[in-house]
Amino acid sequence: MAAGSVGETLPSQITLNGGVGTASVTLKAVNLTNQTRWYTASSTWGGTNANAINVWFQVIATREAYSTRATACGYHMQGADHFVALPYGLSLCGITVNLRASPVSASSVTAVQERGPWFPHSAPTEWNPCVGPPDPYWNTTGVPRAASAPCSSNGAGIDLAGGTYDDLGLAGNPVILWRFGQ
Amino acid sequence: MFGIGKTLQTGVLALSAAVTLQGASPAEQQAAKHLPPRAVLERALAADWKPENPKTEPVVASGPIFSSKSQDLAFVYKRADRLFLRVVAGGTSPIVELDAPLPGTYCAGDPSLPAISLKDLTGRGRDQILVPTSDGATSLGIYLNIFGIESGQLKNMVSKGVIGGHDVELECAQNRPCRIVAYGRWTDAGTSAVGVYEWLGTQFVRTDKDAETYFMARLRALAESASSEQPKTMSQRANDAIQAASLFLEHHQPEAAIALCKEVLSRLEDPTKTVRRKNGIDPSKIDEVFGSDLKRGMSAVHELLGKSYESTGHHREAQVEYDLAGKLKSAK
Repeated sequence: MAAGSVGETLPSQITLNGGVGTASVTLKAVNLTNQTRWYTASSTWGGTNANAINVWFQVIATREAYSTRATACGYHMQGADHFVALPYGLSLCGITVNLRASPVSASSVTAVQERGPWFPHSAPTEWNPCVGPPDPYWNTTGVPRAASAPCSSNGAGIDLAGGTYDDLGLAGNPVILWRFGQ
Repeated sequence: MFGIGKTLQTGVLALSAAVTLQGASPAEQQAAKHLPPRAVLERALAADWKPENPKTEPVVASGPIFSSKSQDLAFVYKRADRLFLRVVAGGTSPIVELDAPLPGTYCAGDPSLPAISLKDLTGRGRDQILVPTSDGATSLGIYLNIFGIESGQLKNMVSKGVIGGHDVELECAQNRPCRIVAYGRWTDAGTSAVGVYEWLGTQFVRTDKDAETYFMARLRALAESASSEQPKTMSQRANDAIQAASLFLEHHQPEAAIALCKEVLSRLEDPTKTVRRKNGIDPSKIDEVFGSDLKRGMSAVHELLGKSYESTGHHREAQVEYDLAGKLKSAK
């Protein structure tokens, strides 16, 4: 595994004592919409073992209001629907994401059907004074731009449709975990 | 081989274009004649769409835009991924075509506000052009663009460029000029606001006249939803309660926040009013999850009840609520 993003840390070597050794790895990003990062364990006596590890993003989630208008993906919302919005372009439409309210809670699997929150945004309004390009934070620092942007009132990195929000048993604008894939 | 494939592809495209024009409305056919090079006529969800039939239609309208007696054309086109409004004066020679860029990446109409509409908002006998566009959830709704013709020029009629909002209502029934009421997304305290825009002779300007009345009507509806007798999940009930109680506090109505929190707590404790969530949960764990949900929701409402008591000077009652919130938060 190579440290590819800002703030990522990984040891170059792990020393084993009695066959046991631990090391802490901080991952901040994935390539495109990959679910995992691969790592390879190599022994100085020969032999390698490659494994993949899921990369989760921990961000503030907000609830998306019901609307009779089409979403940016051209999706038509129905009642307490199930989907998420991520602050990127239309290439993410239909991509599967896995969500959890906490590391120990049950997963909810759904798809990206909307763009947001906060970015990209082409003109300032009373409700969203932010103006800026897409923010694929899962490919960079793992931290949404909105989290540190004064123009954002809640710093959210993912929007959840009403049904998805309810399935996770959320209240308010909590921090949740999400990753790409089933 | 490549050449044959290319020829066939061109043939299919030509046929498809011919079919589209044959079925097109007169306004759409007119718009096609006035499209700039490399531009595409924008399409949006039809005003009368239904979930089982989400049909689209071209973003075109015709009516008296230049003067009260003219029949003019307005449409939205996309070029290089950017949206533009084009207005074409009817029956003029040489042809008068005026353009303006629009924010957002798509036209976002709904039955109450179609993707393009012409309406005399100012009471001067000629129509203005209303085009709701959007970037998606990032807009927290739409950019409402309003354009009109002034001294032969296409002019933006909104003082700050656009009116943003999740829901936008035009109040024109009783009088002209119309009043425009824009609501935020209303999914948390930060997005719960109302903006009121009025025509001040040359542009629509945010005046917020009577905004508090609209705001309180929306807030009361939210509070009623939070304390409703209808069965709801903890998320549905607690989220509305947190939002409504926070807004009552922001608007210096702690008594209303106290009453709401108490009512919502009684609903959360009533198993016929607050129900279990089941989607994606192991059936053997539904009760366990429900217990955990209730503790989390009640903790948040007790916390708000504490804040509400504190703002009325009832510090002892506030401490009791904070302690209850803390116990519920730490309970497994």
